[in-house]
Amino acid sequence: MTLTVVKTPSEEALAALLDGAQAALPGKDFASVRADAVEKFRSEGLPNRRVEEWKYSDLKRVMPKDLSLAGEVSADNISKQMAVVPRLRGLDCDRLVLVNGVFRADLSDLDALQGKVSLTPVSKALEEGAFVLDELEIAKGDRALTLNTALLQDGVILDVADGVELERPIEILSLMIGGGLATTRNRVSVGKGAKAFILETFVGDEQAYQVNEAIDFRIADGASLSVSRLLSEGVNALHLGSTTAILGEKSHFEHFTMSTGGQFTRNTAFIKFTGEFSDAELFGATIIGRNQHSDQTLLVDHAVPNCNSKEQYRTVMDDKAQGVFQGKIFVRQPAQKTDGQMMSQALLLSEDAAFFNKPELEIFADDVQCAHGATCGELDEDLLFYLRARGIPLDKAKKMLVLAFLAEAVEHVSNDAVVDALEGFIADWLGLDH
Amino acid sequence: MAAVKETVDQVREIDVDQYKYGFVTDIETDKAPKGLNEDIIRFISAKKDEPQWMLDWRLDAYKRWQTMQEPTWARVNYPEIDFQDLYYYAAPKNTEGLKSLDEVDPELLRTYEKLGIPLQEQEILAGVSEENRVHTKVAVDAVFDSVSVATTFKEELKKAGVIFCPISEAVKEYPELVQKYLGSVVPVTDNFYATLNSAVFTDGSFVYIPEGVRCPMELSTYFRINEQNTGQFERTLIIADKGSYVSYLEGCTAPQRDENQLHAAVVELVALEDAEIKYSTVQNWYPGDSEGKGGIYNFVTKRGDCREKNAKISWTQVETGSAITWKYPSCILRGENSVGEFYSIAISNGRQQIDSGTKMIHLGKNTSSRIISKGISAGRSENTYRGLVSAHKKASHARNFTQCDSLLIGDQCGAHTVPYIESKNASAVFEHEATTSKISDDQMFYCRARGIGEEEAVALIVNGFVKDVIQQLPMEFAVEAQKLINISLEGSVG
Repeated sequence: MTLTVVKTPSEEALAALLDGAQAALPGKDFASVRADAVEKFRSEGLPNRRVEEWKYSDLKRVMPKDLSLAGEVSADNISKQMAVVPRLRGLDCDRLVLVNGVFRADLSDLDALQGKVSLTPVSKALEEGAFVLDELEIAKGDRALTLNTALLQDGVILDVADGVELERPIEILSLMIGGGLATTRNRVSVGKGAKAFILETFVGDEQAYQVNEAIDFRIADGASLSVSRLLSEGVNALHLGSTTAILGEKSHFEHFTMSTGGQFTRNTAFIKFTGEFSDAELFGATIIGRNQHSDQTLLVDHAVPNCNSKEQYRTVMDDKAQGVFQGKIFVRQPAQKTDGQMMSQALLLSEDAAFFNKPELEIFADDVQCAHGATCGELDEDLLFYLRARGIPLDKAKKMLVLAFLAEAVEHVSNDAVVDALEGFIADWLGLDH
Repeated sequence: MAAVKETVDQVREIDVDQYKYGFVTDIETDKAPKGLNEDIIRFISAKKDEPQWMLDWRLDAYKRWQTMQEPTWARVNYPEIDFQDLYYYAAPKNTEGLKSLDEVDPELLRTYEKLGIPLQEQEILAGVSEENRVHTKVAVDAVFDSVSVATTFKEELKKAGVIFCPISEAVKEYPELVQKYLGSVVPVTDNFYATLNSAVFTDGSFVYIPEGVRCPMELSTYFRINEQNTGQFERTLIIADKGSYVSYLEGCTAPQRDENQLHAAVVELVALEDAEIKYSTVQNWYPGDSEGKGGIYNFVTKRGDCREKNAKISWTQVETGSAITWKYPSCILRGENSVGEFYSIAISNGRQQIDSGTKMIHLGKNTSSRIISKGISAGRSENTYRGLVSAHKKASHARNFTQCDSLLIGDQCGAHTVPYIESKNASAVFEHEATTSKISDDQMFYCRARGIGEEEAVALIVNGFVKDVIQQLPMEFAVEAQKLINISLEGSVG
């Protein structure tokens, strides 16, 4: 009976891939966890529009029939791609590199972090039986995470020691070359009172590759973590991303997502407050065109009192692009004095673009202030007129307004160098001088 | 300030028994055997003396229904309903072939009098004290269990060309209108409960406003469930022809019983060119006791179709009753420049569960819609707003504004907001805002410092919270609704 659900050719191909890959994946102790995930996939199949959380992002429809795991890549090829892929350049940061889902110590440079941050590759932790899956309650059963567990290859585990304040961002760069599927899970723990900035970058070539990546943030009491996430995948890529974050007491979490690339992108963030007096700020800027599909899904779990969360997402769609925002603020009964504010704004630049917006509030505590807002529309005629009256051509005026629209989200990033780099990145994407 | 004073008085007067309409009328009834099968449908059809096409329509719906599954996506919990354990037809005896109100069983008339719905013509809907009465006429269609027992002002309406009668009568007398419009807004196969309703609906109101006519009085239907173990399946069809206007009111109550009862209605509105329909509901089915025992399951499909240009449909609802409410009055904005409105107050207390909202489907150019939803949860209740606003490709310059606010009274209740906003047209402008909060200490302090008692202060603040919606209700209903709100929230403070 459990096998009846997997029935489309792409589901069957994926099921076969999952089965075939098991033996070669690292970690004997983890095998049963993977097997459970494979079984779960078999009984559920791929998420599709009939699954509420995937209503607007039908993975079943876009999953290709021919699937394989990503292979190895020559050093030559890597440096060639690194030079051309669109990413943030000229940033002063420490870098960790994953190529086709495998951590590459040879390409990474962490010398400057000695004594402050410890690094363990996930494959090593798996082999040693030291990698334990401890899924957040709200993330349990997530279909993308199930697939992540079923095929987990590698990733990095970073521990920022208590009290350490890192001066430079640490970049975790994931590069895909030559097609195929890569599955990674990273983990970043920020110790008590520590402070860190993580930059996640996802890039790749023009092949039809797939990335299923997850990252877990553990922010200890009094710690502060800023994350900027740049999704600049290749034009034919399928990206499934899952972020989970657990916030301790009096901690601060800032999370920014910039999404421009890929053919089909789904980003999910699960945030949970476990200690009082903490803040989470989640921002996003998405700009897509062609027939790209980009989905930002968000679940903020207020489980304890006196925490604030603020979400602000901006999406711009051109051509036949489809954007999705699904956000939920979940306030449990004990979480009195919660302040939750969520805003999703979308700009449609073309007649054929579409936007699906679902900002939700689920509230079980009474002494709270929660609000959400959502807008959707086209560029303001008056603003365009203002610019054109000053001799700026229509095309450039439009681009300037789009940049300004997205910059309002980008500017929340607490690192000025990263803000400049991100704004430059958007301008490049738009073909605007800066 | 008159309304506020009225509220304050009301709060003061409230006695322990909150639900005033929980009495049972002892009356002889005709019932179909329990359960649902083709024979029951034939029985209902025969009872109503329906033409063959109507029976066929019902049987088709029944066949379809058997293949359907109960929806589970709403945020409501209830034990499985045994559809074979219900009576699908119950009617007071001797209601057939009555020529005037004098022939109606006096027990029935007394019931409606007790409910504040006098069926004597020239009377008006109660709820307003003698000296404050506004002398407007309201025509009432009274539906008791499965049949319509009386319709008032029929003659006067006929003079204006307005047809207002039980739908069972319309099926026989205006078959061409019924055939043309029935199921054209809510298709037979729309959803589980709508399909069930299509198979077994027993009565309801039929309204046709001819071209260019402004209906001379408010029309109203009052639904009453009386019998035990019966389901009420009413069907309402309102057609406003070109350039016409009608304001329609709907009210409902049921006796206080320990077991749950099902009410699955379908309401279809059709507004043609330049026509306007204003549909107001004060839903006050028995909500169950404070422990959640008993109460009505209100699973209703309501939808309006602005079929031609410049049409307007406006839904206003005050939801205070029912153990479970599952209801999404919607507008299909097909005609150019058509307008849809949804004003709602949903109040849950005790163990009530509400999952309600609206759908605004923009299909035509320059269509606009407005949604104002105010949810108040108290006690251990759950109150969900679920709404859809969508603009299709051709709906250029569609416009929507949505505001849904929730107020929480007490720390054991839940308030949820689930909006879906889908835009497939760049020139469509959608705005949505939602807030959830409790009555703030500052507001309370302000009132208390001016010598206003705690309960009165809450009433005052709640009244302010729902004012935007109350203003949309016709006068008689507004007063009634305001009283109801306060009664519903009785006992939720302190």
